[in-house]
Amino acid sequence: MRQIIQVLVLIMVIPFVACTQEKENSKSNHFYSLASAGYLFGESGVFPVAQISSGISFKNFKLGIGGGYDGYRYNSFPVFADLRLDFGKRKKFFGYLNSGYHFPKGEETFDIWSYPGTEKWEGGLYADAGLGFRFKLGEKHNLLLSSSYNYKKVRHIKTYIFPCLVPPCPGDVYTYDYGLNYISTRLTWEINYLKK
Amino acid sequence: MKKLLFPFYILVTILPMIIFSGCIKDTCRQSRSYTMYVPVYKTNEEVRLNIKSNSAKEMERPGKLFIKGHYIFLNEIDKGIHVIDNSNPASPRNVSFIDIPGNVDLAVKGSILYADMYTDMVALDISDPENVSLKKVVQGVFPYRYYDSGFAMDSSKVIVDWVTRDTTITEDCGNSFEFWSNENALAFSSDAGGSNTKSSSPYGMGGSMARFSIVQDRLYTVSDEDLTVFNIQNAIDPLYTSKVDVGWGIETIYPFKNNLFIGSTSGMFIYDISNADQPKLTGKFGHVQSCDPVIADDQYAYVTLRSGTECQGFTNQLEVLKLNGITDPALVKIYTLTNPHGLSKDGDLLFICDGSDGLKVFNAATPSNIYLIKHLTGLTTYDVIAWNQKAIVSASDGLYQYDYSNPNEIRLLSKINYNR
Repeated sequence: MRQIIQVLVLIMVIPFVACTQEKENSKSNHFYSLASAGYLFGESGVFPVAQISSGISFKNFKLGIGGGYDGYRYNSFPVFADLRLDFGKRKKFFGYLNSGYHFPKGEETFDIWSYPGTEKWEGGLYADAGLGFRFKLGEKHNLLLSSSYNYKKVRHIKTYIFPCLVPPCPGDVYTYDYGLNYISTRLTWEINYLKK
Repeated sequence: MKKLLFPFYILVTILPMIIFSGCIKDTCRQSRSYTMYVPVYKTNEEVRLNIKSNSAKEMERPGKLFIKGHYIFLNEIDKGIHVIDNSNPASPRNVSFIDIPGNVDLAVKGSILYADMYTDMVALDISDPENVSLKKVVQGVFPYRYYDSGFAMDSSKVIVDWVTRDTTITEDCGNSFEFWSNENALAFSSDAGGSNTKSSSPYGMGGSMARFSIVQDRLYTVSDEDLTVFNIQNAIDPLYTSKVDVGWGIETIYPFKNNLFIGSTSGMFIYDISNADQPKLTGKFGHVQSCDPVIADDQYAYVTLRSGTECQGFTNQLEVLKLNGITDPALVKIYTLTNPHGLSKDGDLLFICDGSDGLKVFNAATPSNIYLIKHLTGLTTYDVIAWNQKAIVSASDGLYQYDYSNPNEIRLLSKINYNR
């Protein structure tokens, strides 16, 4: 799991580094990278979010992969496909859809009156669909302000172990299947590069 | 105009947060699996007729064990006793099964085996271990067994088995699950850790978890709160003699010379049994609340404390106590362990079952400087009897036998698998 995340981070970070080495006199964009941060709002409260993604541009479309951190209710690390559509005369507006899988934090142990128990979380579908505005900061750099609807599916399993004289002792398992619906607002730094 | 665009965009972006964040809701469905246990009853007469050597059964949920000659008597919790011919430790044979419903503990004197049967005690003739017969039933000597959540057994009959039915229910979070036990059946979760194996009886009961120990002509048994004395001068006719209140959370009893070492969740008690029928408290050593099997020799007591399960403690360690003439035991040293259960000592070798951390063999020649000489991993151990260069280890998946004639090269002789 850690290795997968490391590889994804590497894939997404390399373009940012490559960008700094480009020549300034290029004409058309073929690749993009995004780094965003913001807040998530929903029934469970307000939580932070941070993501990066990279991919290719084709006309008004962008397609890439991304990953990051999503703190809504349960800490988790989504990995997703990033589909974007720019519209408006000067591409001032955009819409996007991220869809993939999120990996929640692993397992924890706890004690209730010294009876041991474990908690674990299982990931599931992750989706994020939103709209936003683009502010130009330079030839390659843009600032994006967006708002989106998010969904993630989480399974939370709590196991309590009962006392007994002869182990292994019996336990009690509660399984909670959450469908978490929430809204996000984000500020994103966009880089377009590798021009011809 | 352009200057106003940025605040406008921000407002338009943030507006949905304000408008919609209160409207969208998280959804939650909860599910829980459980097993309903319905008791199977037999009459007292039917049960007593079946307390004999029956055909061997597979081991599913073994409990305590007792070695007599080249036979191992291994309790199957709440079901009876397996008789294992161990004349060749490299190839033990499961030869027969004695049906004793409600059985948890056992002890042997000569050719008589004593066992609990719910609230009763039975005396069996085992002079021919493969042809055991019932000699006597002493009724109502152990505390009445109680169960969780309103289930009450029919006291005119005996529970010999449980029929199980697995169910899973799913509903919105926040609703309470309606599957509690009633007067006819017990409900237990069926999802978790290894407990609810097929045809096992439910847990959660207390009261008659008796523990037995024989010293000369007396059988001493401890329940959760008291020490009971039986006169077994006439072995086939055990007589209830007396009962002594020893506190609460009593777990183990270990005899040594004229003393009984009683382990409880709150400490170790020493009872003098010079007057065999009237045990007298002569010493105690308190500690944090933990489970604590005890063994002792002439000068030292060895107490393992463990956390978790029924023990409600946070300590996992071996405590070595100097007995100081029994009346004033004093701590010599503490050794940290993982989750110690049963222990056994043979000469200078100290064997400790350290739960999921396997079996640990220590050199205990100097109690203040005990050191590990062998660590057997890959098994979850509960209890050990080390005797005559052979260690019989009760583990989660089977009964192991080791040859420790060379402590540095402990050798697995055999393993009887449990059918879990």
